[in-house]
Amino acid sequence: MSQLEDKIRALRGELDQPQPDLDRMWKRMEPRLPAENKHKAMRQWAIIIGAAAVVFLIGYFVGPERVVESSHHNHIVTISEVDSALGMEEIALRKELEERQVTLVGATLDDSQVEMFLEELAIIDSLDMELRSQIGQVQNQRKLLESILDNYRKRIRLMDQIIREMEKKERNEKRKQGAYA
Amino acid sequence: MEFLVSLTQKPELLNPIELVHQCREGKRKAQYELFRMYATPMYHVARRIVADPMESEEVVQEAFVKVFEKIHSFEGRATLGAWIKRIVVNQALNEVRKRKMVFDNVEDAQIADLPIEEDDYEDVTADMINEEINLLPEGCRIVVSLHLLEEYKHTEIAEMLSISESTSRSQYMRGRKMLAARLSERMKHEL
Repeated sequence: MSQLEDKIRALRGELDQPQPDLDRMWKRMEPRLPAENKHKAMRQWAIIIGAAAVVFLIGYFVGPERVVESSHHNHIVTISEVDSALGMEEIALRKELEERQVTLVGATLDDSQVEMFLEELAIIDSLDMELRSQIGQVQNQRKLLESILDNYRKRIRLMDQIIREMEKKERNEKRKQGAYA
Repeated sequence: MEFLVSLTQKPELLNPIELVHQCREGKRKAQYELFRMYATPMYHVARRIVADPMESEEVVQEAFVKVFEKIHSFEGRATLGAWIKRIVVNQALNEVRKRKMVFDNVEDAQIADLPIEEDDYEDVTADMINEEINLLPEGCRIVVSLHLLEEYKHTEIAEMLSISESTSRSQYMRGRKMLAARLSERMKHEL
């Protein structure tokens, strides 16, 4: 990292200037906001979020059974339907992901680690949804499907990173206990 | 009749789960509270991409309208902040695309021609950095902001901007060197 990057990161908090006029922005946008929904929304999502964050988050991944509706044909398209070889690869990657899930279930991670993980996962999820919405709709299907598979690899790398952090934390704790014993 | 939230009223602090739930029901107070929580940092994200302050406010307004329209699709797999930020970044990039953003072809040799960064930048202030980042060519400014300030990886920036990863890297290198050269020059004059 260069000295300039160090300096900018050191001043990062001060760079967020000047402050916006939130009241003016709210007044402009409020008339365009969706009206109150009289029917109570389903609270299932809240139950999901309420579950232990880490276990829930690592439990999420896009499996081969997850499908996307083509907006043109209202037809359900899966990776294996478009390309059986890549479909097989998706199954293998999913298995790898599941192995890491097993390791991480019940893990205790501190907040900063979880936050980092969430940020990364959000980006991958968002990209993944965009890509999946294009299945069956773009010419270069292979490239699209490979990008979706690549998202699995990114998730795997993220989980490996978390596992390494966990192991490091465990080693440090053991070392501390040894020092006090 | 439109329910107007008193803008002088201090928002009540709901827990995030209840806040999202109430936003999904279209509760204006909850929408206002969520807006107050996130609008300022999102404004700064938008401003780094579009540069113009008024345009940045419009980007954030548009993005929050989308946030409230799409909040049913927020399933809690990511933090709320990360989810909103992605909507803001996409909205800001859409605005910039309307201006036909250009990523100049930058050869490695051209980057090498720029002076080596050798200062310690001790006297550089946040204002100087903001001003000089805003003066960078648009493509460089966006990549420098997304990578250095928003901490997106080059692979992610490449996907967001529909450019190659190597273009993202070269724009970053070029932007960083230009920024370093301008700040060094500025410090010499201000001493």
